[in-house]
Amino acid sequence: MSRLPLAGLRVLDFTWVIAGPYGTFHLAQLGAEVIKVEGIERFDQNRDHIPFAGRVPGLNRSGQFHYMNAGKQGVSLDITNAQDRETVLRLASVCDVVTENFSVGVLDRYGLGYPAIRKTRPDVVMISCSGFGQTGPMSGYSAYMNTIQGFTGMVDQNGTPGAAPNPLAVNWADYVAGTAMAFAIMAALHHRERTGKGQYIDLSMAENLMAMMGVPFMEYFASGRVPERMSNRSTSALQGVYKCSGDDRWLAIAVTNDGEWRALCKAMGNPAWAADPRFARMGSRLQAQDAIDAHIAKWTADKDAWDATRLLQAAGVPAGPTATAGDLAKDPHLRARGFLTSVETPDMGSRDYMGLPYVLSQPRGVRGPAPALGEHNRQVLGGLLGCPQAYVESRSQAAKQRMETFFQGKSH
Amino acid sequence: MPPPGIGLSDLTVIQLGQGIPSAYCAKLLADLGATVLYVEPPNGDPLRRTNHALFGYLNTNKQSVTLDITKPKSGSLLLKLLRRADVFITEHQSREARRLQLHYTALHKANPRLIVTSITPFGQRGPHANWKANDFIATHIGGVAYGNAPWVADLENHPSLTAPAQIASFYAGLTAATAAIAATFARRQNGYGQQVDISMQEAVASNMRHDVATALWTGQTPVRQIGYVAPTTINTQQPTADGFIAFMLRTERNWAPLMELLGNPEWSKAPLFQNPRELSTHWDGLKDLLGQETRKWPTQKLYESAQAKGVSAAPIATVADASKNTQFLGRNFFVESPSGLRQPGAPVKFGEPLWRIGPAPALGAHTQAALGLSKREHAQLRREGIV
Repeated sequence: MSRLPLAGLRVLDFTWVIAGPYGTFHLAQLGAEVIKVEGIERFDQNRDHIPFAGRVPGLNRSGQFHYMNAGKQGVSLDITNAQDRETVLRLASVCDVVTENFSVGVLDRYGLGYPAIRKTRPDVVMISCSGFGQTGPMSGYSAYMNTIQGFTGMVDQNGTPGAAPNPLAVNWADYVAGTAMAFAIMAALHHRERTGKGQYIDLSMAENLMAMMGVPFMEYFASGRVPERMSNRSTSALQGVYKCSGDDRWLAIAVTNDGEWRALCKAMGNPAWAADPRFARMGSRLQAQDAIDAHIAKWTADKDAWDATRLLQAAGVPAGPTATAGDLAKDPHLRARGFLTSVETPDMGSRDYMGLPYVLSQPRGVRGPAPALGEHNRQVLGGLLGCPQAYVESRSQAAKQRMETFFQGKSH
Repeated sequence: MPPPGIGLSDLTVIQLGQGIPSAYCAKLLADLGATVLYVEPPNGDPLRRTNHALFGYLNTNKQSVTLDITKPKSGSLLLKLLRRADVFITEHQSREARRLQLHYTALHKANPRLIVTSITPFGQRGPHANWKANDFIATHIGGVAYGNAPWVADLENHPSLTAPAQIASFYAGLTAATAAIAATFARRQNGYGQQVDISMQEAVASNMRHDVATALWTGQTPVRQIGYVAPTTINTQQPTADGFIAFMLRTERNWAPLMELLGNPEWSKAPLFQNPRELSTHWDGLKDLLGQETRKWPTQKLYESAQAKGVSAAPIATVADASKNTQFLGRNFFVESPSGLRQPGAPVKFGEPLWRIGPAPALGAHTQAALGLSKREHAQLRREGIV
């Protein structure tokens, strides 16, 4: 069996919540040894996030946490403690990559910023991920996905023409930042491979998102106008979302050329209305979209969204339901491709996980599960660094106690 | 073009795919120094004519090679490029790839070191591999549209919205570039390229980790709602005196400071609202009470005051606002190409000079050199409409 692509690389991972952990999730699943360092008091707050397996709370039972921390090792160290800080620096000296997404300046305050890390490991690749970057007047802003999306213009682009911008509750900023983090780290490692030089990478989640907003930004820079919100429509394709049978079920259909229009009409049984000369060409179809939508909605009203999808796809028409998380969970295609796959866990039985969004020649699956707080203290602090046993045990005991007592007296 | 600062300058990439996913994937690699040859039809990527600015942004630092791959004679010319390439970026679905003799087995035979990065709506394998989708369909069937509910009272009569800015296509491109680089690490170990299979549906569904985990680990499927509300987290957009503001509230840490900022309104003292972990259960009523307070503030004053108290808040800014934001300007995020085209700059700031801005190529500017053609051969192929 061939080695995984990043086998042999070691990562000291300070990240928490979503963007950072999703970035190092890529590295862990690609074979890097990712050592997730968490404070006993301030552990990754996603450990305390629904959903909990079987709805039983526990600091290593959150699906949200497992879905981006599977395959990592867990070490508990408290960077407010001088002895632990020394341990962190020793750990850094044997790592190729250091990742963090604390508020800007936190690591520096504890003497663990890039200058200190580089001193112990000169060719380290270190990446800091933050909402707005490590410099500038907004670098201190606390930033989560909807605030970042607000500043970039993404929320303003969301919604219906003529109406107020629609709140964008879907998290793009974190996940695209996590993916960019993995990309940037590997690019920097590639550079190191060729030059021997490490480097520091400053990832601003807002900037990364704006780099991906080429469509509205380039329209604005070219014309001086802020593009209109487009709802589900497009200026080049006939696109609509139509109500289907069942509770809150919807079907998205796109017609991108005349062939697909004819295929759609045929799939609907070539109804008389479709012969309207206004509907014959794309340009005039787009003019008459309200009328067309009303007809298509009548056709979909009594149909199951998935049945209609299969019918239209078989006819060569791009279509798909507005999938819910339940649809994704049951999607036979995602399961057959191994994007969704089950993993044996020590204390939650067999659980379904979501893997990386790409298939390489390595067997697809999820290396997992996620580690408990301090689960690998012995292996990493004792084995790898040779810390005294009493020291390792004290950290492990504290982590264990924190795991056991955290939810006592809390409502969920 | 400035000299590349090492980075990916040892990689040669052939981009055949014409959509945003391929273009952005190849741009990410080109901007870090890779030699990217964009293989366009002889009359050019239609985007050159329909959206020159977007074309310019998506094709920085690339070279342009024209080739009509529907013509039989083009096959050997494309192979010539692929034999010395490291990464091939294509959007052909499996059936089409076989028809064009561009399926992985054939390409691997021609160049065992080639990393064939295919970006398709549903991936190369699986029961839906040959289904069709554009950005909009992939966004809906990838699950990220459902939660983007329109802000209306009768939600049951209104569909959810696709994501703005064709972000799914860019995301598929970023995902593909990440996977392609990962494959170069595998190749360093075993000497072989591989097929890298990107599904747009999976790329966007990756953002659904929370909701899919909920469905698979508890059997619950979230219902559509405006904003996101959980015991520890409330994500909401509220009206202000002059626009809208977004908040991300970590309830245990942020609720009390936010109430203090708003002058501890009478309603906030109700016993019902004293346990921050229970705010989410009262959110339906609470959100309008909060809105009555935020309406009294101008957007900028409110978000700056909230941020000063450690509460994550933001204006709903336009791209025009963003292009003038002192934070982004101070970091020189927006850049100008050599032809003066203003555009978003580096997605991340590398400490080493890996990233560079460069021009988009003129159509076919690199055809003759890349294909190693004499002037006469080039002219002949042009007459035949092959290049």
